[in-house]
Amino acid sequence: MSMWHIAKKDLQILFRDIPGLIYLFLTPILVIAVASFALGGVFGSSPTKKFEIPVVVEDSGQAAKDMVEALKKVEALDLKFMYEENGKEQQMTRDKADELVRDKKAAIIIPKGFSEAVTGGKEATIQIIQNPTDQVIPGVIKNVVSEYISKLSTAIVANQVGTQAVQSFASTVGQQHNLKLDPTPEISKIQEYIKQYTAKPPIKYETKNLESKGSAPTTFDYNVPGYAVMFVLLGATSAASVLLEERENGTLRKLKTLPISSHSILLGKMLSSFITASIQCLVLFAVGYLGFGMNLGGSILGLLLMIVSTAFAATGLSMLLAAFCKTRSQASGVSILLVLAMSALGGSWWPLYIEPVWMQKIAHITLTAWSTGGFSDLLVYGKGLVDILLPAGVLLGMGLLFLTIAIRRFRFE
Amino acid sequence: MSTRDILISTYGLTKKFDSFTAVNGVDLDIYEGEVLGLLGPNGAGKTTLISMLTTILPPDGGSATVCGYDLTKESSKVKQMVSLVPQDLALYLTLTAEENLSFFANLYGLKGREKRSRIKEVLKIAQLEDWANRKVGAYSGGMKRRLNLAVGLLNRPKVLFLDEPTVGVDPQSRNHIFDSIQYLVEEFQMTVIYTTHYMEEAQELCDRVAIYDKGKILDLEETDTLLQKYGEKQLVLDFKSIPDWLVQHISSLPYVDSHHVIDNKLTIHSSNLLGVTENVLSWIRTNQIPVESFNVHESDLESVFLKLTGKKLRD
Repeated sequence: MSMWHIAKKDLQILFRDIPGLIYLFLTPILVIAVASFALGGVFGSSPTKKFEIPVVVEDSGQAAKDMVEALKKVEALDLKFMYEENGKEQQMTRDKADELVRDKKAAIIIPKGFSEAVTGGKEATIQIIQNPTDQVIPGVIKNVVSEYISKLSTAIVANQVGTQAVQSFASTVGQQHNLKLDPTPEISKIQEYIKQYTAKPPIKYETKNLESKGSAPTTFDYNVPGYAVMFVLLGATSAASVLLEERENGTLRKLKTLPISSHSILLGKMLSSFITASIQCLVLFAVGYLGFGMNLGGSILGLLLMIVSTAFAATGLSMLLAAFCKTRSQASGVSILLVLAMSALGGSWWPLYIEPVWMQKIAHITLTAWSTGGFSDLLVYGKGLVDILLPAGVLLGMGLLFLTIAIRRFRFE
Repeated sequence: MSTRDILISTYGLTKKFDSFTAVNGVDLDIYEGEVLGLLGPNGAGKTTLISMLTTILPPDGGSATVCGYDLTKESSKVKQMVSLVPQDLALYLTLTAEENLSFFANLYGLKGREKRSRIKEVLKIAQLEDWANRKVGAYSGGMKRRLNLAVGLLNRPKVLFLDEPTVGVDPQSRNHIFDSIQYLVEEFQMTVIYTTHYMEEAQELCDRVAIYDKGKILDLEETDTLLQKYGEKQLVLDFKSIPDWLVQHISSLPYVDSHHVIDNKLTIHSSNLLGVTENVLSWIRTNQIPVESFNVHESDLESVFLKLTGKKLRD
């Protein structure tokens, strides 16, 4: 019975702890929901997300048509055989596909002579042009194409091997006239044929990277900015708890009696949070660069601007939390909820473009989307200072808005 | 007392929190160099009153001047003149005493040699020179309270507000705080406003005491005057156990003005102590009630408070 009383008391305390309940239930529900919606088009059977893929068909034979039909059956692909120019529909060309790959991440080319090579038992090749800045979409395309190729190749190999084996057998029988047959040499021949064909399948795909400035991005180039933004946000939002702790233990009240303005107190708090967030971000990028060979992009100035604007926006958010939360534990629960939800939605954990379009739009109300977008433009897409002025400006604007509201709303008592 | 300069004057000072009035039209004059006690129970509004006088909270009504400066219009000048030693320990526990003092000294605008000498001075008053470079988290409760006081002295305030400075303090540190206050008043002619709900402290330390309850000053006099005006001598009877019927009988005897029971002690207030003592002892003897002890006490601020508010300080 005592055991029950202890358990009951603990549960009573737990269910009165609103921030604790938020962390326990609402945070995982929200993060799981956001992740499921975001990745529904990649991993699930949901038809919500289709990748638009330019397809250049230079061959008009049957095998090329079969290949196209097979590709059309893949739900995740929205094949684009045409493009619009000057108001007119045009057949997709290699040049146009090259151009589109910058946005669409991959393109498929079925070259001239493909069908002839397939039917003639010669090696036929499908080309996949991939944007090296992305791994997800080209990966999906390669899987789809190789699966089809594998089926086609198996059929061709079986056809070739069988035909040649039978021809060889008939020839042998004709020469020896009813003599007792030893199949060992024929089996050896069949095995040799199979070896020959499987070593060099009749259809293969080759990938070609889109030409880009500098070296191809590494996984660190993708992951460091996203996770850096998430941890900077986690660090900065903990500053809200520190500020509320000062309110709870009375030091803020003491500061109010000193000959300094309330704004100075809050701006001082903000400044320490901003410096911490900036240094944290710099350290993460420095470790990525020095320790893991991460690419820092072509514009160090642009990178610094993104770091500063991200730290500023994160600081603004932390002050906003401090202004609206009544207690430390409340701030802590709400900040974890916010940061994880924003990270899932805003592209810290996966590229934003794999999310459904409606989610991508919503994502841009979060500072994470602007920050990871800006960093990706610099580090992954090789863009320059001018290209990140918009995300940096939005982040600085968000920070300013959050701070203004926080300064007006914050209570020292 | 009235010949001295008035440092703080309030007129109808009021503070409301929604429908709750925490400070209700307080009129108050505080003189230079005096120690004024603000005696009232927890929740009486003492902290709210001094929060207004130290510019933490803006008043909702009335006006006040502190050292000649208007409380609301010249709050930055008021801040230079006053200092608050808050009830909470306004210290950073992961910093050393010296680092804490240096931080607050910076905010007071102290620099260089003046800052160093001021820090040294307040460390000496708090008797924490040997502990200056230790993290405050390692201090005892009493040492933290002393450092809290030291922070409040950095700007050499003309008016020092001490908000329940002895809560949770050992007797040694309490005595040290009392000695420090007396030193500050004598050495620097500092004016001290001391809030407490311990009547012994107010009685021992304060020149004048304001009896404060429900946001109002019920009376403000020199301690002796208050005791003469409202104090009653008390007969205290100590029983092994004290059933309700016994209290009812004794309280209905002639000359018993009021009474209260704490633990097994019955305290009887009367303006005729001789008469009430005769009556009570006679009744006890007749009814053969066992009494552990009985004493006659001098009047104190507890009884003054009881008389003025009808309740005890620790209610």
